[in-house]
Amino acid sequence: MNRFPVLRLPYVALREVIESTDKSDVLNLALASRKMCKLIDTTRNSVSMKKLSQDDIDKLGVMDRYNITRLETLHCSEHVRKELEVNISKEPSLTVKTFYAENDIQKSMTFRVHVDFAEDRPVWNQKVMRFGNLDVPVASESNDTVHTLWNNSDCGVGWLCCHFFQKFDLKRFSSLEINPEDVEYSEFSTILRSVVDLVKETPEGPNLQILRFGLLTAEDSQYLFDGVKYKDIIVMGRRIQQNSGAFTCESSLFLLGDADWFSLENLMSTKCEIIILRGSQMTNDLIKQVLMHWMDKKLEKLAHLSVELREEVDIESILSGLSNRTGYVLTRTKESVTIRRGDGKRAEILIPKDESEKKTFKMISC
Amino acid sequence: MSVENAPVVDVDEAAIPVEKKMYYRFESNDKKEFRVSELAIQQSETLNRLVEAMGYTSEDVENKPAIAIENIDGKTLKLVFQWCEHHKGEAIPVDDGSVPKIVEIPEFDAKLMDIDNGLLFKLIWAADYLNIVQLLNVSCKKVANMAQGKTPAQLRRVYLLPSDEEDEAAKRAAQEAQDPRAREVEEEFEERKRQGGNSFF
Repeated sequence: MNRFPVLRLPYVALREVIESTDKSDVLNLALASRKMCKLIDTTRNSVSMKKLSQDDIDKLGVMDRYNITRLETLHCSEHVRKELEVNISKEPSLTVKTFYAENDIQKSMTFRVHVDFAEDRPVWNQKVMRFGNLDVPVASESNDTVHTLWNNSDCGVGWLCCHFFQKFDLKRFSSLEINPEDVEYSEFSTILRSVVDLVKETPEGPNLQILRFGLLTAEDSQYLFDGVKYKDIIVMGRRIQQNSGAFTCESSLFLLGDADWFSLENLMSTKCEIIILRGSQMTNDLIKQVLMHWMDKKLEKLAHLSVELREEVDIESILSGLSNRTGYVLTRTKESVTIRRGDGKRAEILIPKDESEKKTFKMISC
Repeated sequence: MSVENAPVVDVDEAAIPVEKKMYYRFESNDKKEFRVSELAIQQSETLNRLVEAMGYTSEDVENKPAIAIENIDGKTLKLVFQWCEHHKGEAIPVDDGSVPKIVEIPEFDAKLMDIDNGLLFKLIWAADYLNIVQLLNVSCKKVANMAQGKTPAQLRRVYLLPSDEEDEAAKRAAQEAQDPRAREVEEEFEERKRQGGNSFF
């Protein structure tokens, strides 16, 4: 191979070489050594988010964005934050977001890698992209999105997740979005489980969003929630009959959009600080039992509960459960009723203000 | 005009110039002499200022010794002057601020630079020293093109770039060479650490 000792050039010439090099090549050059990267950043063809303008960043292709994220990771750059979002659906994808923020300056860079089944794509317009040491065929791309082709898309998602975790030194998935609509179920299930396995290895859980929850099998639902901590959970879609039964989850926020299947047992087994249930079939009688469980110190993690009942909230009916209890103090105001337990912990039950809130039971525990 | 037909000539092979314009005489560090037209010299900011400052007449050019360029050899200087003669009269390019810089290598320049990397390296040094903007642009573009489509590992080989580990080792070696006690101190420190000592001093 013909070699050229570029570092022995005078600085003006070296700068000229760097500034004449295409961005993709200069990024690979910056990845060749730390010293070279520092030199490159003294020129106008810089490769760090600190020096690149948002306009420059927006013009970059997926591979360049990937390489910049790698560089920022390698050099442990200050003021740079990275996030990985995983979408498991008919078209699974991974999205890497990199943010730069210093004083008033903020820049961001995103790239999305779709994981497609190779047989579904024509061969003639394929290119190859190199992720680490693996050449991955690519069917089509735009500035921030690329469709990668895999013989097994479940392997693709798992491999890319591990690769991004390692190369970008990520500590957690920032979000996991799941939509089982129109999927080939066994493949979907394999992808789901491989990603959940990775989530379990991270100290902090991601945000979880599920659409069409009813299409998820009971087994996958259990795999998704059992023993896995999430930050916020948002679930949309009714759970079908066969999936009803045991349900537990652990998160900071749990929002259930179509909670008609959600039972008192389900509520009692969740370990969430904020629980919001919309469209539930719960009644004042069930809420009375919730309050009794709180009195019995069985919902200690709960800080905020908001439940849309199937009937209008009847505060007196709910409070009637306290009639055979002692050791608490009840305070009433126009807006709320506060119950202070013997151990000093309080529950504030908000009185619905208007028509729109009349079916919503709200309780704040502190 | 082809590279072979460029008007730069070694003095021993020189024919008398047909043009009436002044031709300056330059000598490389290995005593090769070249005659270069006044217009071609304008491509080099360094040489142009030099000849302006010297204020030579036609007689001076013939009678006084050739202007010595002491840090460029004859082989390199021949390429430089061939390039200057070919591009004489052309405007010196002004940086338009585009990044990466858009530089096209003309056919003549490509043939001129169809040389081994050792000579290309010397040509770039010469273009930088003589401040020949466009020659520096095209020669550096040729070096930049060597990076096309290469992986970081391949680029380390092509450009002879030390890896981070090699850079670290070189840095340590340089520090040790500067302060011979550094190694002793480091070894002593390591030894104390092995013995479980909390304090070094």
